[in-house]
Amino acid sequence: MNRPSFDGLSQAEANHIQLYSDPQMFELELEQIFYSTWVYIAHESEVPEVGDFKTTFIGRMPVILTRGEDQKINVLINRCTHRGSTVCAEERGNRQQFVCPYHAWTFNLDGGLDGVGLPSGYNDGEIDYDVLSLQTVDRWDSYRGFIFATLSATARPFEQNIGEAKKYIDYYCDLSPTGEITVGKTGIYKQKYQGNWKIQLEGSVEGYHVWHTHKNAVDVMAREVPLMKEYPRLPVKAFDLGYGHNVIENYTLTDEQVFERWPKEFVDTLIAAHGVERAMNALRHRFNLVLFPNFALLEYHVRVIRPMAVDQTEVRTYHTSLVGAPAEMNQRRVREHEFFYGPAGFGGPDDYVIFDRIQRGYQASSAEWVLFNRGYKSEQTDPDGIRSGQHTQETQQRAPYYEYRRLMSISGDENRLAEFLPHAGKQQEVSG
Amino acid sequence: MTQQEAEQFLFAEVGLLDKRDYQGWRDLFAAEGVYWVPVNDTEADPQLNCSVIYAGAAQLDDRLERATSSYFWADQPAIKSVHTVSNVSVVAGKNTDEITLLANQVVYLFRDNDQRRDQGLEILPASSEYRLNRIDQSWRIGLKKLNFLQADGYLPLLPAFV
Repeated sequence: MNRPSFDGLSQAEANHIQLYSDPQMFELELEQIFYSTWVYIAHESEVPEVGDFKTTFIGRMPVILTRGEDQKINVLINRCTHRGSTVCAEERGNRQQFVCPYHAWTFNLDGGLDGVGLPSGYNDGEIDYDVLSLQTVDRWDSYRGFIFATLSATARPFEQNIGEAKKYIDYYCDLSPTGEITVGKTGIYKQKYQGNWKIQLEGSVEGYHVWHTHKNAVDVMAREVPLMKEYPRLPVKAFDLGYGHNVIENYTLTDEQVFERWPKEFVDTLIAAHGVERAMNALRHRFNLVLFPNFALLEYHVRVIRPMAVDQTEVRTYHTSLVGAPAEMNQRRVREHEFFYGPAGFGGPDDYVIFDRIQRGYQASSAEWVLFNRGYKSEQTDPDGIRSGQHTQETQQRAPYYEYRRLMSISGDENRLAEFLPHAGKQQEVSG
Repeated sequence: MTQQEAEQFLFAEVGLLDKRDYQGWRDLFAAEGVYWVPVNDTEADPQLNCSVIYAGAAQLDDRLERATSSYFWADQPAIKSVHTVSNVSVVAGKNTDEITLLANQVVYLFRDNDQRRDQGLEILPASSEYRLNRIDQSWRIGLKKLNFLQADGYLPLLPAFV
């Protein structure tokens, strides 16, 4: 691609609307983000048995995740190495081989080419079975069952990339007495909105809108969790975890509140399973975690963001269940999740209609900047470089764009905002 | 219940939705009535799996409140509906005060008065199952289950009741 300059279009406190509305920008994002860094693809619980498969996407690229004969997971590119048809049409299932519908090229669970139709038509040297396996994505790794992959040989190591986020994934999984969860087995909402993928990325850790956008839901939730009424004033924070990842703490319960929220038997079960510290951490912390660029972990679900076009995004909400938890606990997770999310929930639909409206608003090319400067001046940075702010401020919306600018090779240009935000870039002058 | 009575009941029920007379529609439910719209596998156990809507009395009342709230952003501008009902069959229940109705429905949704001007018409074919209980001489809904053909695909944003 003949690349125009996008320098200065993403800055610490604002993005230019071109990031959300320019098709060339979108193509560049696929190449330099979705095909260049670690992206979430699946959870191991989705393919528990040999032969189980799930199809998904890395950017636009169709992939198949399989559980091989050796119990190991394979990540295959879903494209026949002959003439290009996908070799698997379904979203999920179980089979031993993938047979291309065009000429019966047949691939095994590892992607190896087992055979082709009418092989005698090939002369010696015209077909090399070893070379014509399905392409594989060899760089994939997982943490507590969450599988991430990258098409890049040079992306930073997985352990380094997931870094600070591990703590929150531990809190999440430790709510299960066995430490295991299932993802999507108990419901998947499949939705699309007519807007850029980054709107959902920013919107997955949005503490500022809750009291207003979600007033219907908060009114109902506050009956069970009274502190929801106080949400904007809660003493909780949001953090930039580095590499574009970020987290917003929704609430953090005291010991006393833990026992109000959860049945005592459940608390005891968790303590017996994990010890006091791990158990209480799991029971105490409610948060939304974003792993750049396409994954969010929320109270009851895994959210997967799929960019389809500059102004079209698929969001899947995979409900999670706790393996080994009492049935009533998982039932409660079902009811509370479906209350808020899905196409008729009390919260999610209001977000999606707003995401549509945001993209329409971005058609106003006269209004160039999308702001997230709230709390920039009071943002704290700890000795490890972790930035934080109050949860209704916008540290967490700013967080992805440090990594975004690096991956996209865009330099910031603080002066471009001068007219609009006269104090842009002067963070250090204000004491927190 | 005769075939004609069954059809008249269903026509009236979806007619209340199309008129957005949600209070009138909610009043059709028995005290223990359940309104269920499954997602993904329409045969999955709703106690173990999420649904689009799984509402007993309390949740129906909460939804009623949301339906008329000025904070129901997904319904601004309001989503209008037309329901058509066909293929009605009447299945006798355990006794004369219980009956099951099976019917196909098509739900058409359209967001009127939208600045975007190219808003799409949503077409949602569904099979449906009603369990009715006769209470004080009139039929009340013990279960309304609406199985969208697209239950495992993309569903549009829905009004409070559909």
